[in-house]
Amino acid sequence: MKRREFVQIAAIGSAAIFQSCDGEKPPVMEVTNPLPDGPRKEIASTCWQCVSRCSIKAFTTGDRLVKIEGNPNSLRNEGKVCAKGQAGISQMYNPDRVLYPLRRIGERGSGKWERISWETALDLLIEGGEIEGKKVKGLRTLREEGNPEKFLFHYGRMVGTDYTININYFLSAYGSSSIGNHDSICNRAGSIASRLSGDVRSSHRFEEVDIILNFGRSLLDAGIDHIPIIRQVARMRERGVKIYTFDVRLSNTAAKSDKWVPVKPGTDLAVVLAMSHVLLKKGIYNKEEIEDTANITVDELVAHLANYTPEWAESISGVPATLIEEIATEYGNAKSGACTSFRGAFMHFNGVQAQRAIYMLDVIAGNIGSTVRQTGRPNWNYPFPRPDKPAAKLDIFNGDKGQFAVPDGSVSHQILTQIKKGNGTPEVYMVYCHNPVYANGNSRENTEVYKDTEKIPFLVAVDVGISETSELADLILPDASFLERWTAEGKGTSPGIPEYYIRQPVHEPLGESRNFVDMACDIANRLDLNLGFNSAKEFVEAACNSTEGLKQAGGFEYMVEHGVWHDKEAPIRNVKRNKVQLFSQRLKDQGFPGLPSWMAHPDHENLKEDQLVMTTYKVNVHTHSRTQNCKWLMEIYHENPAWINTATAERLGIEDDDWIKLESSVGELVTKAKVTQGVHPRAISISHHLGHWAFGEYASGKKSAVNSENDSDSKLVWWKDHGMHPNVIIPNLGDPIAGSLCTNDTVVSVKKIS
Amino acid sequence: MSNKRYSRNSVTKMLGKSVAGFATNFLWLKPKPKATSRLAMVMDLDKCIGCHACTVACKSENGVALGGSRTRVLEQEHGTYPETSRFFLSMMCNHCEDAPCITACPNDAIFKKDNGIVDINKDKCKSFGICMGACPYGAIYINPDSAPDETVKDYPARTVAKADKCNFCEHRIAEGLEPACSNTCPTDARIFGDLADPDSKVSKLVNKQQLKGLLEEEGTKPQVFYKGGMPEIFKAGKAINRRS
Repeated sequence: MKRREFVQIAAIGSAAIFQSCDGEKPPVMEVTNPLPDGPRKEIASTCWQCVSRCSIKAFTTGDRLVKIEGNPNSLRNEGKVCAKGQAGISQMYNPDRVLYPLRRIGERGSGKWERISWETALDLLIEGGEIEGKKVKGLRTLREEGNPEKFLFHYGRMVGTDYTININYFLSAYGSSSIGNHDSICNRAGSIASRLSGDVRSSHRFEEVDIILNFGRSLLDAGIDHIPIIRQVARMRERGVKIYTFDVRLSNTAAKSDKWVPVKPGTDLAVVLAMSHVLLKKGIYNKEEIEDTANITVDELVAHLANYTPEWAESISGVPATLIEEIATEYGNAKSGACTSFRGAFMHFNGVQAQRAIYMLDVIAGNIGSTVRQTGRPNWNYPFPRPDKPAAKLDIFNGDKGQFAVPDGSVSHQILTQIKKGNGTPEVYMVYCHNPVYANGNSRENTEVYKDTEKIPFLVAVDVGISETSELADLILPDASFLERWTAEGKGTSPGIPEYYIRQPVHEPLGESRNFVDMACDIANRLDLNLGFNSAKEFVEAACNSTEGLKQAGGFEYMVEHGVWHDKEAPIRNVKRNKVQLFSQRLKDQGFPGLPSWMAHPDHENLKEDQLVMTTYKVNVHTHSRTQNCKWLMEIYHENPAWINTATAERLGIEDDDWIKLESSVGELVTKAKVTQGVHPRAISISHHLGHWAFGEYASGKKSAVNSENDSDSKLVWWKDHGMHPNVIIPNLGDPIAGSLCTNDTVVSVKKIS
Repeated sequence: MSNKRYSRNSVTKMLGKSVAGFATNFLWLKPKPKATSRLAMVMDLDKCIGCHACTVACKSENGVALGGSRTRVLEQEHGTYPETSRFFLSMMCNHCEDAPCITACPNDAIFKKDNGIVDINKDKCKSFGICMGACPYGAIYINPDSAPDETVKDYPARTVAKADKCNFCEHRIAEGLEPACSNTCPTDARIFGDLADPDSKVSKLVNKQQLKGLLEEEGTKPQVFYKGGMPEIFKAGKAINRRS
């Protein structure tokens, strides 16, 4: 039995017929092995395979990009770069790259396209026109009609000047604040917890602490500061620093920790509350320091935490009370420690509370003190007058009224639900470097909304490939890959010194692809928006030449040569922090406990015999949804069987490699079982990178409509399995406070199929 | 290129010696000189996090086609829940002192250089694949994408496939760079150097800590040494000689 038969959604867009009407395909770079001989030229730039954005050096031989390495000039990644970054070469050369504008022919999602010129494409976008017999409005009309907010710009990954130019200049000048992001499928619960707690940020360098409690963060697998964190942890390990990792699954991070502590899905909060209880009960705290740091007294804390005993936490989380007490004591007594966390702790129904409880534990343990080290973010100067932020905005970014306590305008995975409900109609909906169909929960519903030409009259995708979302678009504009564009950006470093980067083309954009930022400048010019600059390069150059410090170091010329700049002498400052709001009036006002408190997931209370909680996770060689055309990464990781505990599998009559069916409230998924001792008995765990049904031959096994057959490796693909995508059966809900997608809470019934 | 973690001076010195040795050897003017360098790698398994940065570095550096690999990272799970652990094992050609692949090749295509590198002469390789079976480490593969060999007209299927494996990125060493894998290893779990130089990091590690290679009982005298936790099952080679 083929599992794809079970996932009807996979049938979308499989039949692709390409018709060329505006001339021949442009010449495509042939990619063959072995590599061309000859000297290598070096170009410094910045990676963009993942959010970490490490400084890189790209090497070309003749016209061909042959290698990506880490840039030793960076304080952050110190000359190292990960598997993903090095495989970035495929973002340029993969055979399914879109290299010219495409207009839909046939139904949305039918996979039929015609190649059009840039002129035709921009005419259609700006002036509107006809798509398959249906008239659509363009950007000019929306503006002239006084409805600029009906231009919805929905981005996934966009940083540095890409963000600045697209959002703060182009969209502001245009007049629309209808801007969607991907926050609520990422770290939203964590960032809202931080906001509610007085913008708490940990001030630790891992290199300076003596113990780490890690709640559900894949520090060594896929951290948001991937290589820099790995470097810090590696140095920390040499000092013998202990790491305890609490996770439903034995991640590589857990495997390299001193101890893996399995927790029932969604119960980190209980463990953390009990640890705080232990510290208070044993008197391992400094009263003055706590009261100086937080907006609460120790007496109030003691009263609040009285019932959160280790025994209580054991009954909730399955973590032995003795172990909770032992680790809490060791943590409290350490000279300096740090809690760290990510989606394992907070992409849950109770995620905001879990993250706030973690702050509480660190305040009690004295690890979040009254002073904080300034993170030292780069301070670029952009010498162009910035248009005011427009007020016009569709009301589709907060979920339903009252649905979430602290929506704050970026419950992004609910945008499609809101459009479906008719709460706003984007006449022009542009998706930029994002794949909401695949990345949100409930892929089937997302697809249905995108296919509705009434609710979304004109869907435009700016993309490097034909993703699960782009394949539903009316118009695809081919973006430059990260190796073909100009961006100025930067990040803070572990020592606290800001680091400035540029991303520069290591090669001209292939085919007719164009950096969207340049496109935005063109669109602005045609609409007489007068941004003050005409290209990304011009903007980046001006920023480099006018930013204090960098200007004196050589400005643009320096950056083109080195790719990165920092001032080693930059002062590192500790400043008094705002009081940590362990008690949140805003939460209290919304009817939630003001102090971090236990919140049980109603669906997890009484699971049936065959029910498990499905959690998802990241592996070390993929980003969520942008690396699956990278052949070397797919060769390493192309199967994602569901991890199921040996005892659970035995109970359910499941053996290793059996086909199993997972059924949630929104659908079914058939996949293979990996029976393992490395996952909690109540969890079933599936990574969320695979199971693509679009993108192309490396990602899905199916060539896209634009496949250029330029890669000699195409015929050597030896794997047939492309995995399954768990988001297909994750309901597109949000946690009640932040509205963050609860990717790790889905109750599924699991059974073996024959 | 300017990856200078592995000091350019020391490599050039080392390479200078081996090039000199190589030249005299080639000219048969003198008896074969004593090898002056012994290139080696230490794999620190305590540091390895199984991230595959080495795998991809090697693939791109050497243009390794899909299906082939010069270096791999294996992983294995051990123990019973909740005391479960996972180990990683980085694998590559061990550049053995007594390399069974050299003996096995009927075409004398595999040879050991004075600098310690075991290399394959692609002109002599007839893609019989006997070396693959002879290597206890599964380090050799037949590259489906290597350049055509016009001389083997009777076996067209073999004309595009030659045996291939790690050669410590000799072209990089010649430029004063370290191999691509150790160059990018984010935890510095791969340490490359010259065992003939007593001051090198690899010498110090191997000698001080009495590091061993994999499957030493096979008598291969491997020049890749392993440090840190390695479960017995890896040592027994059950997982090693298997190309995934």
